[in-house]
Amino acid sequence: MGHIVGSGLLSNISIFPETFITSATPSNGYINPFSPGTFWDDIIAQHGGGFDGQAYIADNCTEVSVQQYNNVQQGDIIGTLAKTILQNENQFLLIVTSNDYATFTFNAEIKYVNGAGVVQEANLINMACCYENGSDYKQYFTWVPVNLSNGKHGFFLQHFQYHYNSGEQKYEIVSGENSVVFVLEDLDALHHQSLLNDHYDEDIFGPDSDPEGYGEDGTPAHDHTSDTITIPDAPSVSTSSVGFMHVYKVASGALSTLGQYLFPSAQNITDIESALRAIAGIFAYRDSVQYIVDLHAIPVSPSIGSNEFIKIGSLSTDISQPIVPSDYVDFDCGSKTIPEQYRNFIDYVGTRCKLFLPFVGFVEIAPEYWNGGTISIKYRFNVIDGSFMAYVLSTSSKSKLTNSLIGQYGGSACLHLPVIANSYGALASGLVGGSMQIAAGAATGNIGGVVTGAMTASNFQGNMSQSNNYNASTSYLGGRRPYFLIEREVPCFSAQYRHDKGLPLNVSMTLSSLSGFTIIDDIDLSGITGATENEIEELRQLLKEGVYF
Amino acid sequence: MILTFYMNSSDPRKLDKTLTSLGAIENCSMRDVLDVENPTFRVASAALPGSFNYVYCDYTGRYYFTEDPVEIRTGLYDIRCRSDVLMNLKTQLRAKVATVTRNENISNGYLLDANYKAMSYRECVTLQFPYAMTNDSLILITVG
Repeated sequence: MGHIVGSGLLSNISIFPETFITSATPSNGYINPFSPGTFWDDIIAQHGGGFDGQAYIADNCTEVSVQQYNNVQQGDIIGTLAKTILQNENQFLLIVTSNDYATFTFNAEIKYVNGAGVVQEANLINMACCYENGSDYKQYFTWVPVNLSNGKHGFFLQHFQYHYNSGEQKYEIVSGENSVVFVLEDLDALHHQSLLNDHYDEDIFGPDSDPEGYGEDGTPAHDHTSDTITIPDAPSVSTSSVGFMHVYKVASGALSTLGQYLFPSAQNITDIESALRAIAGIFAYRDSVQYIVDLHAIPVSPSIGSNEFIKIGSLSTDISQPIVPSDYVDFDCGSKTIPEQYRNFIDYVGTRCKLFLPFVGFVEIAPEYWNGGTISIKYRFNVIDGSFMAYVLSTSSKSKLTNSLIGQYGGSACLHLPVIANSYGALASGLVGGSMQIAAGAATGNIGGVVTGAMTASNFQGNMSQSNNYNASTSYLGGRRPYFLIEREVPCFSAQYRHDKGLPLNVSMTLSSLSGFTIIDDIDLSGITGATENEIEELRQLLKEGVYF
Repeated sequence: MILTFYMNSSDPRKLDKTLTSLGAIENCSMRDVLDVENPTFRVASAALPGSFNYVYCDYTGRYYFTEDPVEIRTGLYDIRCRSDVLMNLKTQLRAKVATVTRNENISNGYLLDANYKAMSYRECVTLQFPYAMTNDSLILITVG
């Protein structure tokens, strides 16, 4: 048996055949390391936390003979190939893809048995014994990232075959780069034996896991799942359901007409009949304005019903405008998906973000909520008083959120319009900013000089002492579309950084599987023989400072 | 004891040294007391390689870094050595299981890297959502 061991954070693993290499035979006549009759046995997938997806295994590069496994979990067997590997078709391809394209590495290990059911005599460091000619070859594979046609990212295994040049004491690449083989990499004695015994004694997943599971009884140490918090439903009470309240969505032109309706002009009247009609109107409507509860603007269009004549108090005008049947209206600002920039810790530690919400301002939002995820913003307005609630929802695999409410901000987006009666025919004017106290004022405007003996217009002060204290939101002067303001650090890595300093890991591993620069802060060196105490301590210190495997 | 002389071209921190063999000399001895960690070998031979920096001692079974030989008298040299613990213990070390803190080829990119450096400025980007609230609407509320 062998297993594929991965670490890192992955999701939505899937395989795409189009990445397969079609050529089954390397250009330099690579020799099948396995004799005919060798069987691949179970291949076991292991992975770090967050691995959840599909895995395919194809047993050659010209034909996708896949076995699909969904929702691969730690310890699952993701493939079973019990077939004969033909002489020149030893290429076995495993592709693992991830939407996250997180930095991760798989260690692939294969255990195999030959046709007689006996484990191949293996030099546990290399695959030399697999060759009939006994040549000293070493297999090595690398994970090569690829960008797939559907926009996802993946890896395929690229194989290099090394031949050990004993004269020069070095390994030389002898296989072509296009050959792909899923082969053993430095299977050490301890691990080989452990595989034979079907026992894994490596803890590679960090402090929350062990080979027996996450907790003492094998259950996860803690629950990573998240409840989905949704936007609450709008209240069911509606102003319009109150029979004597009327809510209209009015056009500015209709307001002008209404103004003329409420405050008919007595100016420029040259005949008695028109004057008397105007005076009658003043008497009829002069108190009507007190039945106007409010006139204001909101930044969105409410849902509207049928047109009705505007009714003010006991008077019904002939101005037809759509009613607003619902007190609440939702506005969806849409969603924004932001992929990680660096696909590493810098996306989180070195990144700050503010979210501008119209009528609210800037709010801080942690990268975990949006990096590599999606933020949605929805507003719910109260049409009656112009108040609102802004809802921010997040879908993020890092934060274990699925379209969940992570923030809500209330405020007012109501631009009150003064209802002043001393401004005849100008009721709809005055989209003013700031807050004002509208003082009562005397009506102006003459009916005309022909009226005599009747009440003069100046005695009928159409001015209304009512005044509204209004606060026209300065937010109307601000932006109306949400946006992210993201600040990111700009890393500066040298080309030799990996080789000189290594990269953070924190995984328990058998050291024989390592290569390159390595730092091990702590290690149990019990059982080391043939070394003095000073040598052992020197070894420990060297591992802390970094050595090259 | 037999000392095999080499020229080591590898970094001292490398487990597997790349060694160029320069020959072996028999009948060497260890000066003073037996010190397997930091021995001083005494070599009486006119065949001492002209340039070397690494030896293997069959008696101690260890590889050593060497300093320049000190000629005691013609044909007699003292060579101070220091045990190469990595080379000597590499097989046992490779069999160990340990928590790897950093590695050149395997990494978890989401772990904080205290060694990384960043520019003094930050990159700032603005990303808009799709829709804006631009449908200003007048609402008239009356009673009656």
